[in-house]
Amino acid sequence: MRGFLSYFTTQLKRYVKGLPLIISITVLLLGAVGLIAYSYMKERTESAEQNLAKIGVVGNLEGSYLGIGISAIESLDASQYTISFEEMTEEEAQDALSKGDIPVYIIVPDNFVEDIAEGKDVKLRMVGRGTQGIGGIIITELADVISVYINSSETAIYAMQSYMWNKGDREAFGSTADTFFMLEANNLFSRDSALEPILVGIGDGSTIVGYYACGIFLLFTLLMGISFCSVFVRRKKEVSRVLSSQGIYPWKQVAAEFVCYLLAMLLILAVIVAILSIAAKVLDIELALWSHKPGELRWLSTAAIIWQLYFKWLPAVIMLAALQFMIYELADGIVSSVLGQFLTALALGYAGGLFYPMSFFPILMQRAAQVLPTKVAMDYCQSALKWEMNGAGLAMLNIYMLIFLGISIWVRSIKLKK
Amino acid sequence: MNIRKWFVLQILYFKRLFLKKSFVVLLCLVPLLVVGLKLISTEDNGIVNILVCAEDEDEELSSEIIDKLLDEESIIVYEYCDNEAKALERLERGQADAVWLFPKDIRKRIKQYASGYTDVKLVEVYEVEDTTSLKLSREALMAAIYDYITYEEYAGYVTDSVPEGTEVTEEELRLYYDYFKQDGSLFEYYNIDGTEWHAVGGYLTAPLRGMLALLILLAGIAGVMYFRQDKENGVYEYLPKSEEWIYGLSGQLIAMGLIAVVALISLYISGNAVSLPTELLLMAEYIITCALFCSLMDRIFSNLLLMGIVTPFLILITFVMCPVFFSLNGFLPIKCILPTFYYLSGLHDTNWMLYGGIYAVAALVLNLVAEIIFNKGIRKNG
Repeated sequence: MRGFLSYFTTQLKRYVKGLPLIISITVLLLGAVGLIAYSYMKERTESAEQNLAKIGVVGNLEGSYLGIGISAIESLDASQYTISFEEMTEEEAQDALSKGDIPVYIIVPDNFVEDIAEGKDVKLRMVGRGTQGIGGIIITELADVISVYINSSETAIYAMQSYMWNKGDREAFGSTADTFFMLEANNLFSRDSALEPILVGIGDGSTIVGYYACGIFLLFTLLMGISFCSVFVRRKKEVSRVLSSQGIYPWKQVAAEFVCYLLAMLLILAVIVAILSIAAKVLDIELALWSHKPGELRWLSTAAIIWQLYFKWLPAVIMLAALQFMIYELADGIVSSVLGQFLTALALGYAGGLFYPMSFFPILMQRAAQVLPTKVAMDYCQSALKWEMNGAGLAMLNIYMLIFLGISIWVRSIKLKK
Repeated sequence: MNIRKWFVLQILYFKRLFLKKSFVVLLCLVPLLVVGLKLISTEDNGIVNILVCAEDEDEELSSEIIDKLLDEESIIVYEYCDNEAKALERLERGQADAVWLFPKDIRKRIKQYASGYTDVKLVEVYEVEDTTSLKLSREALMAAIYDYITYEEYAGYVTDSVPEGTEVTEEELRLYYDYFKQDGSLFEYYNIDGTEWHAVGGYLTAPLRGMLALLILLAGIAGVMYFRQDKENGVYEYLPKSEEWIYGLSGQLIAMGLIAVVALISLYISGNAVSLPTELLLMAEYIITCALFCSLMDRIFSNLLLMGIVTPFLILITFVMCPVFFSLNGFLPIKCILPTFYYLSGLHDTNWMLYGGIYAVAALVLNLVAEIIFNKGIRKNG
């Protein structure tokens, strides 16, 4: 026991030696990231213009039914789905797209309306930058919607004009067309009420912000494993062998090293939580993590909620720390260790729903993901966010932790035997 | 500098990397994960799941619209449910995001709406919580119904406006409408470099290029750390101090080059790759910019511990600032520091490929200046 304690103390000292530097750099970096995020959010909330995703339009829209489609999209609930269109020259649009100020721009060809009326196959050119992820796909979906609005509006108006010209009162033709156009526009802009949703049930109380708060926390915890690579890669097999011969067997070594690693990790996360809670207090930030706040939280300050969440999420942190420890044990050398940590964070994070909500994935993958440690951790953190006790999740987290530590001990034993 | 010695050391470095079993496993793991992702992305997936029901299954118009929705290729997944109560139950259990119930009198409702009574509900939409994705899905629903509305607008208007005594028949109305009917997308999609824009593989595989780019950057950082560790262990003791960084840089290039080969194979497997010359040129530039960036990081942070702490933050900032999952507007000065931004932006914008080259030159100059200052310091201190 004395040998174990002395090994534990030695390990602890190794971490303590580096901790002041780790903590001060973490504070600095977090401060810088926080400042950028705060200035961005402030800019977005202060300026209505900045709140919109601008799409450039090159060409003349005057007198075109394209205006209807575009205005129809702009009339989407502006508070949440915010897209605006801005007329620009092609050079301005190219420049804005290149700088990333706009996601796409649309080129309206000359004589677009006339060509359409003559039945020519003329298209609007949407110019983007390829790698846009989900944003680009949503834009193409919206473009399909705009196409339908414009096509159908035009069809109706041309059919009406033609019919009225042949069979109607030709003298009143101009005013007839205007009245019809107004009816079409009015109907299109009223579509929100025609499909107004009826909200049923109470939901699970979570919001997408809450979901991503859990996701970012877990992803950051996973990536934090890389921070300690300098401690792990300096371990010597020979030392472990000598220790083993003195009665500090692999399981004792792993236990001592893991506890020290975990303590260091928890301390760093606590520092981050402290900074966040101070920032929340000073800047008077209200957390938008719930659609309806759990009753227990009504009288708690934001800072207190952040601290409570930290303690509630600890089981997930402990499991992830065990996972990182196992990767360090499996990897040989610094390159494999760093890349292994990153690849694990990326692959398990992606498949476990840390980047996209699980509902975005096919059913098959959703089912398979249920057993992933990151998905279990995500579910657990979400339950904790709703102030619910997830007993099964907690048990699974502990089982995973034991499995990861078990593998670490097994790998250490094999290494020492070689 | 002795080229032969340099070459021998690079071969040894290469061998040392491949002697680590876990490194080889990692190299093999990347394409395997991509194959998995590719297989998964071929399954039905979408950002929202909608259950569609018809109050009267025999109602022709409802069936027509529902069939149209079910046949659509979209990021909205539609599923037909023959029982309204069951659909609502599934909605409340969180197994769907919305239920759309098509009423039996939908034809009548569309007629009313088309004649200007816009407070009429066309379809009963049930949701638990209204989200941005569901707003988008309602636009898709409106688009599916809109052609029927405009037809009724036209038919109703014409019937009311023709001079008294003029006979208006349904066949004639339909004939005029169908004559002017426009179908298909009004848009064609292009990238800024003039190539066609394909939403390749959908949103599940869309972030793949960004993720692989990050892996290459990490290989660069790991390469720098490996070099630091070697230095601490005295591996480069016998080399002149002024040549050390060249060995460090070439070591990084080897580590990144190996990952880059795997990344390129993975991009081709996933179907996200563009033409081979563009891919090779872009990748070569990316590896060089990353190596020089990591080399500068090494000079600034100059020890393993510091590099380790900075790395998670660097990854998170790169995720947010570079178009990996989404594209954040603004912050151009910060984006311009990150080599990944040039790589991802340069894919379809040759300007950024060019800026990447300028970045590489600037980073090289900075490295050389730092090296000169460093060497002067060594000479001064004896």
